[in-house]
Amino acid sequence: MLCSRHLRQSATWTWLLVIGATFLPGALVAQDAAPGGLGVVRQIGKPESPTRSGEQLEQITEEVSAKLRCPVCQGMSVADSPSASARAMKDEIEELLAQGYSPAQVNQYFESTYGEFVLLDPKRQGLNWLIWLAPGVIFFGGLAGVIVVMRSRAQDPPVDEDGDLDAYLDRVRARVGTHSTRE
Amino acid sequence: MYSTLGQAFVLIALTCCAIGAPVGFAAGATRSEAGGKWVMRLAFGFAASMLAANLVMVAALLAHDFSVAYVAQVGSTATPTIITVVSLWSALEGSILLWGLILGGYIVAFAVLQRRGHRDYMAYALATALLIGAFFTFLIAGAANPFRAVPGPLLTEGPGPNPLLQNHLLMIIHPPMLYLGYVGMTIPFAMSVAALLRGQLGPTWLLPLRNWLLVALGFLSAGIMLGGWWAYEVLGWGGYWAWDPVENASFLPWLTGIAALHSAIVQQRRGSLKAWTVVLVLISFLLTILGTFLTRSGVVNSVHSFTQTPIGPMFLGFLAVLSIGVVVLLALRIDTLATEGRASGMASRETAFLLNNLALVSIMFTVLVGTLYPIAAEYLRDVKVSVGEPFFNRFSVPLFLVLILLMGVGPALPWGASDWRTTRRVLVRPLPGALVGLGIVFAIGARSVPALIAGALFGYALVVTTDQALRPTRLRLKKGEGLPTAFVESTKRIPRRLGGYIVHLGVLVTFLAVTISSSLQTSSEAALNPGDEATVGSYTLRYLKGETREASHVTKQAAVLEITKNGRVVRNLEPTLNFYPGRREPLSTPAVRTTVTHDLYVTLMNTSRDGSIGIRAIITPAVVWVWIGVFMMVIGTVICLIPGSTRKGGSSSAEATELSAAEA
Repeated sequence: MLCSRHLRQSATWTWLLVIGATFLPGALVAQDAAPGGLGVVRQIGKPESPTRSGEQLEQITEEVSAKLRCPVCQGMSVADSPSASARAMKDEIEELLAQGYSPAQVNQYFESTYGEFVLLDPKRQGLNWLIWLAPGVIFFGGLAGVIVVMRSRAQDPPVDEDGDLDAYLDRVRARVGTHSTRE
Repeated sequence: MYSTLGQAFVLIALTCCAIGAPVGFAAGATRSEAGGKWVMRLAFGFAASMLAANLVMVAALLAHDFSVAYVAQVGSTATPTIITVVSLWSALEGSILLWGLILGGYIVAFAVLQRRGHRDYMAYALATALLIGAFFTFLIAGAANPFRAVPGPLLTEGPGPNPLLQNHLLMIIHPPMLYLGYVGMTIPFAMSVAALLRGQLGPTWLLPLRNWLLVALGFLSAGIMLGGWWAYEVLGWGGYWAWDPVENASFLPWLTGIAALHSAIVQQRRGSLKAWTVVLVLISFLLTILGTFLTRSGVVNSVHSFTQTPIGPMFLGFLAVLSIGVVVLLALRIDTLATEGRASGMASRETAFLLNNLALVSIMFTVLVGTLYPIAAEYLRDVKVSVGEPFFNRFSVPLFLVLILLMGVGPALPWGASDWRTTRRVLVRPLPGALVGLGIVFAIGARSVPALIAGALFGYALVVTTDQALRPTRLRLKKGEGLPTAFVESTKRIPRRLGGYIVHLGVLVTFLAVTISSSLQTSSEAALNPGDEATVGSYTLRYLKGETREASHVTKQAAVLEITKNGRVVRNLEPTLNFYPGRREPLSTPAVRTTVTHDLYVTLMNTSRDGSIGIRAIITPAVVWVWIGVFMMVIGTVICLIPGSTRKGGSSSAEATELSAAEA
C-alpha cells in the first residue's frame, strides 16, 4: 500500500513536471494557449469558470493556497511556506485557477494527489462532522447552561445587600482604620 | 563519576517523593502536626536533590564527559560555553530533569510562603505536589534517564545541540519560561486537590490559590509569546502563530487557567462558582500533562510513532490515572464546595464572568478537538487528516470577539443586581470609544467585517478599561488629593486592581495587533540579479551581492540587500539560507527591520548558479505590538502579585477582600 502510494506520487510528480514544463511558459506568453493538461482534465474534468487573470487571480490564489497544506512542511499552508515545493505547488494552483478551474476543483486535484491530508480545512463528511459541530454544540449548550444558572439566581429571594454589606463594611473599616472610597 | 553521582541524587529525590506523598496524605487526614513537619522536610529534600542533580548535569556538560548519555547526545567541544549550559534543555531527557528542578523550586517557594496559617491544607497540597514529583522523578530515574552511562569505549566528541535551537537567543529563554508556566500549574492543582480533600475552600486559601495561578499564567503567557516571536524571527514564513499542535498544546492550559482566574474572582466577590473554579484549575493541570504528552511523544506526527520511546505511553498512563483520580475525587467531594452565593441579576458583572468562562472554555474545546482529531481519524479511519489554520480561525475568531466585547461590557456592569436604567447608562457611556476604534481601523485600511467589528469592540473595551483602572484615583482626586498622591495611594491599597486592568490593556494591545497584522499584510516576490531592484510598499530593495559563509555545522548563503525608503537609504538587510548537513531543504533565516508601525521582513527563497536570487518581502503592520502587549500582561501580572497595604499588620485577608469589594 505504501508502495502503490509512492508510485502514484512519483507518477504525479512526473505529470506535474510535464505540465509545468509544457504549459507554464506558454501560459506566461499567451493565457489562452493551453486549455489544461490531459491528466488534470482526467482527474477533475473541464474548468467550470471563465479564465482568470490580474488581481482577481492573485487574490483567489492566496485564498486557495492558504487552505492547502504544504506536503513537506510541518503543518504550514502553501501560502505561508517558504519551501521550494510549496512555491512550485502555489504556481500550479495559480495556473489551474487562471485556466478557470474552481477552487473546489483545485482542492479535488490536490486531494487526489496527496490524499485528504493536504486539505487544511477538513472536508464536511462522515466522522469529520464531529469537529465541525463540536464547537457550536459546546458554545450553545454552555450558553443555555449560563442562562439557566442566571435565571435561577435571579429568582432567589432578593437580599438586602447594601444594608447588610454596609453594616459589615463599617465594622471592617472601624477595625482596619481606613475610610471608604465607595461610590 | 557524574553518571553515578547524578543517578544517586535522582534516587534520593524519588525516595523523598515516594515517602513524602503518603506521609502527607496521612498527615492531612489525621491533622498530625508532626506528620506535616515531615512532609515539609521531605519536600525540601526533594528540591535540594533535584538542584544537586541539575548541577551535576551542568558540570558534566561543561566537562564534556561523553560517558554520560545526555552529554553524548547533545554535547560538543565545539559549542560555546553558554550554549553548552543551556543545552541542558535542548533535548527531552534534559528538559525533564530541568522540569524536576523547577517543580522542586515551586514546592519550596510554596511551602515557605504559605506555611503560616494553612496547616490543614498544607500537608495535602504538598503531598499532591510530591505525588506529581514522584512521576517525573520516576521518568528521570528510568525511561528518560539522562545520567545513563554510555557503554563501550569513551567518545571524545558529540554532535552538539539541535542546530535550530542554537541560532537564536530567544530559544534559550523560551523553553524555561514555558516550563515555569507548565510546572507552575502544579501548585494551584495541588491546592485545589487539598481543598477538595479537606472539603473546604475558604477565602484564606482562595487568595493564595489565585496568586499561584497568576504566577503560572504569567510565565505561560511569556513562554507562548517568546515561542511565537522565535518562530517569527527564525522560521522565515512571516507569521508567529500557525495553530501547530505544539503551540496549541501550550495554549490550552492558558485558556482554562484564565477562565479559572476569572471564576475565582466571582467566587471571592459573590461566594458562587466555587466548584467550577476548582474544576477549571484541575483541568488546566491535566491539560499541561496532555500538552507534554502531545509534544513529547511524537503522537501528533503519527499515531504509530509514539510507541517508539517509552515516554509516550508513560505520559498517557499518567494522564489516565490523574484524570480518573480527579473525576473520582470530584464525584466524592464536590458537594462540600457548595455555593453560598448571593442573588444577582441578568445584567450584572457575574453574567459577564460566566460568559467569559463560556467563551474561554469553548475556544479551549475547539482547539482541543481540532488538535486531537487528526490522531483520532488516523486511528479510526486509517486516513491522515489535517486540521489547520482555516478551521481554527473560523471558530476561534468569533469567540475572541465575544471575549473583547466582554472585556468592555463586563467591567462596566455593576456586581449583583442592577436596574435597567443604570445598565443602559453604564453601557451607553463608552460608545464613542467604539466609534473611534471603528474609524481608526477603517482609516488604516482594514475592510474585512471581523476586523471592523474588532476595531469597534477594542475602542469600547479600551475606554472601559482605562476608566475602571483610574477610578480609585479619580475618587481620591475628588476628595482633594493631588494627582500623584491619589494615584500612588490608591495603587498601594490594592495593586491587584490596577494590575488586572494593565493585563486587560495588554490583552487588548495584543489582540488588536494580531487583528491588524493578520489582515493587512502586503507581500511581494522577486527574482533579482546583482544590481536589480524590487519594491514593496514604500521600500526599495537593491540586491548588492551574494556571500557564502562557512561555519562549523552550517554553510550560510547570504544576500546583501540595500533597503531604501522614500529615496533614503535605511540600512542593509541580509537574509540567509542555511544548509545543514543531513537536511534536504535549507533553512531560511529572515532579516527583519522592525519599526513602531510595521516590520519589513525579507526572506531568501533560493539562489541559483548564475548569481540570481529569489526573495520574498513582507510588510506586516503592528507586529511589534503583539510582543509589547504580552509584555504588558506580564507586568500587570507582577503588579497583581504585590500584596496590598491593607493586608499588612495581620488583619485577616477576608476583611481586605471585603474592602476591595467596596472599592469597586
